[in-house]
Amino acid sequence: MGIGKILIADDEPHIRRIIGYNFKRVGYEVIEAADGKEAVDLSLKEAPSLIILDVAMPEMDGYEACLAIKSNEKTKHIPIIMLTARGQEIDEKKGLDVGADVYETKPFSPRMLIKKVEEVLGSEITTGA
Amino acid sequence: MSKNGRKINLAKCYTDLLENYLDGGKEHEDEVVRCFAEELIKQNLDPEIIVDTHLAYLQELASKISLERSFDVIWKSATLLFQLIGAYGSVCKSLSDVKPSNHQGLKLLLRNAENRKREIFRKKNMVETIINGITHGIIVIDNNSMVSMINPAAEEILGLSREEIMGANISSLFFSQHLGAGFFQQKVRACFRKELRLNDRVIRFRMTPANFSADDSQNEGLPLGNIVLLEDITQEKEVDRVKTEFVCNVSHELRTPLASIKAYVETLLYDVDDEDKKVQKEFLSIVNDETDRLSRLVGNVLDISKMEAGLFKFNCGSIRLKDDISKAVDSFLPTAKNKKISLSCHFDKSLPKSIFIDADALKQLINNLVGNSIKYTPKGGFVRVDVKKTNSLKMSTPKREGLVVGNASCENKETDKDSFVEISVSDNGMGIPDAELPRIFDKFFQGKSSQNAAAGTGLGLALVKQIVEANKGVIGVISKEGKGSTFIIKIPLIEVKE
Repeated sequence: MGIGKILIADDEPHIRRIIGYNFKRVGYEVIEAADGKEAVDLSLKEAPSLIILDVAMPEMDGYEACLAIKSNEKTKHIPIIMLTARGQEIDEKKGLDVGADVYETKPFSPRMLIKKVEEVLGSEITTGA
Repeated sequence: MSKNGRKINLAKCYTDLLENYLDGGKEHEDEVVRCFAEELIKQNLDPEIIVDTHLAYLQELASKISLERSFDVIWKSATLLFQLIGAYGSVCKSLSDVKPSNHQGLKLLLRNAENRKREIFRKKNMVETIINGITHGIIVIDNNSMVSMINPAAEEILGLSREEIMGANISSLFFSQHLGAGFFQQKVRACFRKELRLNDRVIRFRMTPANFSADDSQNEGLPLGNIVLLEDITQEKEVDRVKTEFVCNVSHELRTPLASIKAYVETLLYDVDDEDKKVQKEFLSIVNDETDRLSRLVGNVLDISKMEAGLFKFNCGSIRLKDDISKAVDSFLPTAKNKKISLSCHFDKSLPKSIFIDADALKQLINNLVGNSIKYTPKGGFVRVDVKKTNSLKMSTPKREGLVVGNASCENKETDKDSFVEISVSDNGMGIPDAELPRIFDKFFQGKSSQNAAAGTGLGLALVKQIVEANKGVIGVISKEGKGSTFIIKIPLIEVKE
């Protein structure tokens, strides 16, 4: 089914629920990870089309997870949107340094997030990578 | 020659002799004195005049004493007088009755000189005590960048001993990598400041040109050297860092529930089917919970500043101990279930039904301790709350299977009550490293190991401690890294008879 598979990695179940609800609503398949380690595992096992990644997570934080996903040949092509409550410029730089494609801060608008995902996935198709 | 004329000549004679004496080495001393005494004898002078003239000269000097050098002069001069009288006496036996000890003028002079000496030493001691005791490092360097003085604080800041530093060229010792190789060669006319990192400390470096001459006109205002001041500002920087980190943590903690509220409200507003009452209710109840979480956080921040300012008012009343604690613990059941953590609450039979306490404060104690335990306990673990009555202030883990015995840190305060409510919250979570135990009740402190797992404000335990202490209770923790922790609070029990 669907137009793509989104992996949502966030330790807050409420955040996973609302992002999941919105993406399912517009036709995406959704899988969830509650920590960084699970996110890395699922990115390998489930081959999602895109990952929405929180930063402050137990086990392995978002930066480490992002680095792990982006340094693995099998998963490095998957676009990552880092979605975090850490809003300092230095945090954003760090996020982009470890390979995140987009850095978004919380609070966020679910509609804008869907738009962002469509942009990222759309541009991927047009560049024909 | 008149008596006066002889006096004047003699004074001139003395001045020349003294200057000769002071400039010459010790080896000439005896000879100078003997020659002079012979000269005096030849002139057949009255010994009274000799002594009086010398005294007048010394007194004039004494009145002008302002520097240590003048002080040296007067002492040398007084010594000379004794020797002179002695030498004169040995040549001319008739002078044997003139002894320094029975000459009133000399006694007075010596007393003045002694007082003057004490005063100078006292001032010198005072200045030395200040320089040695001050926490700022002070280094004095001359115009060739050689270190001519250093105080103990500077030795400590540099991590070098006095022997290694004194007389050395300052640029060969340190700072070159911070200030550039030629820094000390250039003439510094105004104060120079810079912050440096030295041996893992942050040091504020200040250099001021200094004029050490007693006489300004001699060097036309050019500095004779520089004073380097070193101030260890590591702690200030740390306070600053902790504050910044606190602001970041608080903003992160505020944004997290805010993010939920915003996302749920926006979705409810535009994207949930009007007919879908079930989802509407689910979402609204999440918004409700997250709003509570947000208010709790804001409340914590405000409470702690109020408590610190002594403005917090406890509103004590009779409460049903078991009901209130159970209710507070039970509010964590959904979170615990989510992490598959078993959460239980146990009450000892000896407890009275009702006690006198601030219900909100009690709830906050439970919330913060149980909340922490759940946060730092991995999936599948346990968190248990034990409540009992006790007469002892000793901190020990409740004797139950599975609870750790580790190192304890507790804040003991005298209290006059003899029975207490003891609430202990135990878990088999990540525990607290020994090194962090003494600091966990500090405001804004967050353990290294806890930073990634679950960011917080670092206020929870600080607030718990404040509440416990404001209620004349004690708090302690027994923990072992990797095994778990038990937090114990004991609050004086005020029973309410029904």
